[in-house]
Amino acid sequence: MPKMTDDELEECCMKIIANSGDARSKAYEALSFAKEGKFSEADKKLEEANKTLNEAHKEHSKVLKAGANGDLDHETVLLAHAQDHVMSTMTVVDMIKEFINLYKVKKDK
Amino acid sequence: MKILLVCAGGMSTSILMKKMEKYWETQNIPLEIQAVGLADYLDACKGCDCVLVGPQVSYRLKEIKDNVGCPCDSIPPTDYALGNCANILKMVNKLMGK
Repeated sequence: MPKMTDDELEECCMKIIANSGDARSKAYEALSFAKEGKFSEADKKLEEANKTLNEAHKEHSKVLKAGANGDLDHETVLLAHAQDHVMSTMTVVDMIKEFINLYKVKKDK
Repeated sequence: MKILLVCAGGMSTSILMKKMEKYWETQNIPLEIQAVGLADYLDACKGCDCVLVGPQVSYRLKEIKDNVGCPCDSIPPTDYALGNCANILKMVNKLMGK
């Protein structure tokens, strides 16, 4: 596999940041829907968040693979920042899933 | 025109900012641009023509819109990731009613 250039790495990082950030925004929207009792909308938004997060994850895997194969010359601050985004979004999405479930349970009682 | 970019910490928007500076120069449009994090946008937005928000903080777009008092919208994730400045310029013009 050819080496990942600095420009390619930057593009990957920006895709990770934009997609994981977008996923986080969608997850928060899902939570607001659940708060208002609109659960079908909430589930739909959460599904969208998962899809977008997946896109970020794919880009992240690309960088990790290049790193593991020795095709990455050096890590950058932007990469660390992108990983920060993707990890925190994963946590946020998981937690919001739980919160939405709690809202559902609360409503059924 | 004076544009403010807002994201979580101001880092990824700084990269976009550099790309925008270059593109605006090729289009011969004077540009004053600043990239800040969510913590600083209230002070920085004074005197701006429009505020653009990164997709990673678009869940707070409503709050930002209410606070800045000038045209404000979030940048679509694909334009943001690829630094598609042509699309961003179109968006800015539309926001400012040009």
